[in-house]
Amino acid sequence: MSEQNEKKEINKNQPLLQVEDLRVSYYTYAGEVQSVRGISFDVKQGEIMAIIGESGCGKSVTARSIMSLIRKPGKIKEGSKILFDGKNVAAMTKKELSKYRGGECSMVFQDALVALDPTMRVGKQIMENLCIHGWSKKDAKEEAIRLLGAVGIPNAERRFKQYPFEFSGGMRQRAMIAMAVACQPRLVIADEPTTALDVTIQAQIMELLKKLRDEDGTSIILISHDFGVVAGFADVITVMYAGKIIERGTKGEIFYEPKHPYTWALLGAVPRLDWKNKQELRTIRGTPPDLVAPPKGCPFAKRCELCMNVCLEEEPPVKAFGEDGTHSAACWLYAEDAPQEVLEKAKKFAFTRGGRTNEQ
Amino acid sequence: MSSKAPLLEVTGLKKYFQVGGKDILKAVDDVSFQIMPGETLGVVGESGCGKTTCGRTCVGMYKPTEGKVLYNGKDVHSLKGAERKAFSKDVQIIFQDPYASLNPRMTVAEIIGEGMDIHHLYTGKKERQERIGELLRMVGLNQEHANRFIHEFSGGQRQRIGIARALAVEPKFILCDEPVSALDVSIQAQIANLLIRFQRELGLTYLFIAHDLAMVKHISDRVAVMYLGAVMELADSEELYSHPMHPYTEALMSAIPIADPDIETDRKRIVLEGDVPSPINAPAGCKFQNRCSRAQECCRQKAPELKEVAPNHFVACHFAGETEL
Amino acid sequence: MNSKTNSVKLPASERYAFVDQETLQGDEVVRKNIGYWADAARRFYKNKVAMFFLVILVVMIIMSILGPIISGKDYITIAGGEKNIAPNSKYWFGTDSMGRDLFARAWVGLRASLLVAAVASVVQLVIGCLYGAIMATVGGIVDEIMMRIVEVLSCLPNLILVTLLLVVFGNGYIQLLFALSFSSWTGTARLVRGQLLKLKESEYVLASKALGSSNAHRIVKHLLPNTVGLLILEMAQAIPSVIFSESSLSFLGIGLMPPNFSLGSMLAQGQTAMAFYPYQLVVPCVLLSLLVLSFNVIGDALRDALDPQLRN
Repeated sequence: MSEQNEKKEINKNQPLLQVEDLRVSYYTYAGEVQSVRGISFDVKQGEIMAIIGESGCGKSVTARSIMSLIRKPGKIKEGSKILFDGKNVAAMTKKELSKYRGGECSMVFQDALVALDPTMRVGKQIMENLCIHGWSKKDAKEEAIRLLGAVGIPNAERRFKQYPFEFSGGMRQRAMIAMAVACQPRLVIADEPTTALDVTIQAQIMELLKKLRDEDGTSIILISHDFGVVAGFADVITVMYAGKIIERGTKGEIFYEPKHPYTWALLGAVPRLDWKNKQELRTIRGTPPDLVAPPKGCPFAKRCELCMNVCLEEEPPVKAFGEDGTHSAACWLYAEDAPQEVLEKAKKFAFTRGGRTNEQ
Repeated sequence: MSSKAPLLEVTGLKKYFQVGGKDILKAVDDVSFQIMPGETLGVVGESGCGKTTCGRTCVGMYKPTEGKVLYNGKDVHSLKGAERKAFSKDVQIIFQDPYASLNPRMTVAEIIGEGMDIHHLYTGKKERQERIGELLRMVGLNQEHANRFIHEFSGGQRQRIGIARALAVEPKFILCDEPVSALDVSIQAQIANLLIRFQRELGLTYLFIAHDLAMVKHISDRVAVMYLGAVMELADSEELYSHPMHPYTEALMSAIPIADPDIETDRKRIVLEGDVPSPINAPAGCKFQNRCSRAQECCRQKAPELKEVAPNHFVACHFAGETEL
Repeated sequence: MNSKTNSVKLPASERYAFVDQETLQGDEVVRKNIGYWADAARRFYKNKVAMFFLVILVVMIIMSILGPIISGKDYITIAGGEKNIAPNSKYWFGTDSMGRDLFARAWVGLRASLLVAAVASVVQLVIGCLYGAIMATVGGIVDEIMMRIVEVLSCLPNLILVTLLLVVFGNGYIQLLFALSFSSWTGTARLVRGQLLKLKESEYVLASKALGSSNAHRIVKHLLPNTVGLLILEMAQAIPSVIFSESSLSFLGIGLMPPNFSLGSMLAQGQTAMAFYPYQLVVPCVLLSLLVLSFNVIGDALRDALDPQLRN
C-alpha cells in the first residue's frame, strides 16, 4: 500500500498529458464554428479529471483532439499543443499514432451500439486491438476472455463469441471498456460513458471505471454533463462553456466553493431528492451562444445574473484562488480593480449546499 | 382535492404488442391510477418499462388491449365527432425529442398556430399573430423568433416552442413524455420551472413521464414507479422519497448520483445485479423477483397486487410493510 | 483566456456596473433565417462542378430547340450527292450516309431523347407516388396485396419486359413511353411508401394528430412538404436511366423507328460506318455522354443540397 502510494507520488509531479492553447474549428456551410477556443490543462498520472459542460461546449471535441481523431471539416489550429508524456501528438507518424491510440491512450464512447462493429464478434474486436499491439492470437484470445470477465461480464467464454446486438446496453458498455483497457493504456478518455444507460446500470459502470484507476493507476478523463455522476468519482474538475474553460479546481473546491456564476447555476439546476418539491430550480435563461459568431466578451455574459458592462466587452481574466493554485476561474467578478460591492453581490448569489439562496 | 372527481381515471389498462409472430410484448400490464384536476402524477421507470406506451394509451393514441381510460368520466377510446375534437383540444402532448417533434419545413409561427387554426381559436390574422407573440413570450422567446425556421434553434429553444404549441389550444391536461430527458442540465431546469409555473398559473394537470427519479419527484405531487409494464409503487412524492417500500424503488433511489462529493463517497449503494429483462419474456410471479435481494419462493409463484400499505401509499410487494426496509 | 488590456478604459464604476437583466438577449439566434429551399439553393450554387454542368445542360436544351433552325439545313430529305461529308464549314458536323446534315440531326435526336426521358420519368413518378401513397395510407391487406404486385413486377427483367411490350404494341412514341414507364415506377412506389410510413410515425405528425387535425390537413401540411425533396432526387436519378434505356432500345432497333429518331438510333447508324466515318458515331456519342453526365452530376449535387442528414 505504502509502496504504491510512493510510486504515485513521484509520478504525480509530472503531468501525463499537457494541453496548451488548444483551438479547434469546424468549417461548415454556416461558417467557421469555433468549437474549442484556446484551452489549456494538465492531467497527472493516476488522476481522474472530469470535464463538465453542456452539449456544444467543446468537451467532446477536446477528447477527440487528444486522440487525434479530428476529421474534416474540423481542424486543430496552428499553435495548439497536445503533449502526451512529453511527445507531441500532432507530430506523430502514422505508426506512432496507431501505437498511441488504443495502446497508450484509449477512448470509451457514449453509445456502444454505434462504437462497436455490429458484424464482428465482441471477443474478436477486443482481440483485434491486442493483436495490433503485438500479441499473438492465442494469448490475445485468452486475454480477451480474461478482460471480459474482469469487467463483470458473466460467462465470458460464451459471450466472447457473441455479436454486439446480443448484448444489453450495460453489457455493451462493459465490453467497450474491456476493449479500451485491453492494452493497459495510461490514459482512458470516457466520453459520457453512462448517458445512454439507465440509472441502475450507470452506477455499475462508474464503479468499474473507478476500479480501473485504483488498481492500475490509469489516468482517466471523464466527460460528462452531470455533476452528480462526477461527484463521487473525479479528483479534478474542469468546467467548460462555449469552447473555453471557465473554472477548474479540485472536487472540493468546485462543489463547495464554486466561483463562476455558470458553475453556480449548473450546480443549482439539478433537482435533488432532499430538496423541497416544486421549489424553483436555479436556471440559466436562454441558450449557449452559437459558436459561428462567438460573443466578444465573456461567453456567458448574456445569460449571467451578474452581468456587468465589462463582461459584454472584454474577455475575463483568469483568477487563481487559494495558495496551491489548483482553483481558478475566468470571471470579471474577481478582477483586481473590481469594486468591493461587486464581490459582495457575488457572495449573495453564490451557490451553497441546499439549493437556491437568492430567493426573491 | 379528494372531494373532486378525478380528471383521468385508468383502470386495468393493458397494452400488448404482437412482435415477430407469436411473441407478445406486454408493454403495459394491468395498470390503474387516477389523476385529480390540477395535480401532477409522475411516472418513473427505466427504458422499456412501458411508461411511454402507458402515457400514449391514456391520451388515446393507442387502443388498449384491455381496460379503460376515462377522461372527465368519458371513455377516451370511444369518443366521436365533436366530443373527440373537444378532447383533442383539452389534452396535449409534449414530446421527448425536440428535434423530431417539430416539422422542419414550418416556421415557428406556423407550428404554434397549427392547433389554433384547427380549433378556430381566433377571429382575425392580427389576433392570431398577437396570441403567438404572447405564447412565445410565455416560454421566454420573443416575437422576432416567430418567422424563423426551426432548424437554427437549439434543443432547449425547440422544446419551449413545443410547449408553446401545446399551450396554444388552452389544454387542461398535458402528457409530458420525457420532456427534459434529451436536454442539457441547465435547460432541464428551465423547462421544469416553466412547467411548474404554467401549472400554477393555468391550473394544468400533468402526467409527467421520465426516467430521472429526482426530476419526477421534484415536479410531481404523486409518483408511480413502473417496472416491466406494471406499477411497483405509487405514493405522494415526499412520502415515496422518505419511506420507499418497494425494493426496486429503493434501488432506483440509491442509484441516483448526488452532486455532493461528501454524501456521494459515504453512500452505500444498492447495486442491482444484471439488466432489466426483456418485456417479451418477463419472469413469472413478481416481475422484479430475479433482481430482488428479498425474493422468496412466493415471489416466483405469485405476482403481488398493488395494495394500500399506508394511507395513499400503494406497493406491489409481498413483504411491503412487514419489515422496515 | 488572456485578459486583453483595454486602451480606452471606462472608469471602474461604469466598467463594473451591473447590466439591466431585461436588456440581455440570452436567446439570440445569430444565424441567418433561411428556409429549406433557400438553403438548398444556396448549397447547390456553391457546388461549382454542378453549376458548370447545369450550364451545359441548359445550353444543350436550348440547342435542341434552336439547333436545327441555326443550321437551316434540311435534315430529313435524303440528298444523294452529299453523302458522308466530313465536318466542314458548310456542314459543321458533316453529313450522314444519306447526305443529311448531322448538326441538325444531332440536336433533333437530343430533343427526342430528352422528351422521352422527361415524360417517362414524370409518368413513373406520378404512378409511383399515387401507388405508394395508397399503400401507406390504406395499409393492412390492401398494402400487402399491392406490395406483392410491386415485388412481382420488379422481379421481371426490365429489358426483356420492355422489348416484349414493344414487339406486341409496335413502335412509336406512345408505345415507347408506355414500355419505359411500365415497370420503372415500382422503385418510386416503394420509396414513397417507406417515407410516408416513417413520417406517419414521426413525432411531429403525432403532435399534429394530438392537436385534432384531419387526415387531409396532415397530408398537406406535414407529409407532402417532407416528401417533395425526396421526389426531386428520385426524378434526377430517373431521367438519366430512362435516357439510357431509350438509347439502348433505339440502338438495338426496337425503340423509335424511322422517320422518328433519337440519339440512340443515330448511334446505331453511326456504328455501321464507324471504320470509315468515325465522326458519325462520335457526335451522338459525345452528346449522349454529356447529357447523362450532366444529369448525374446535378443529381448528386441535389442530393447534397436536399438531404436533411447532410445539413449543418
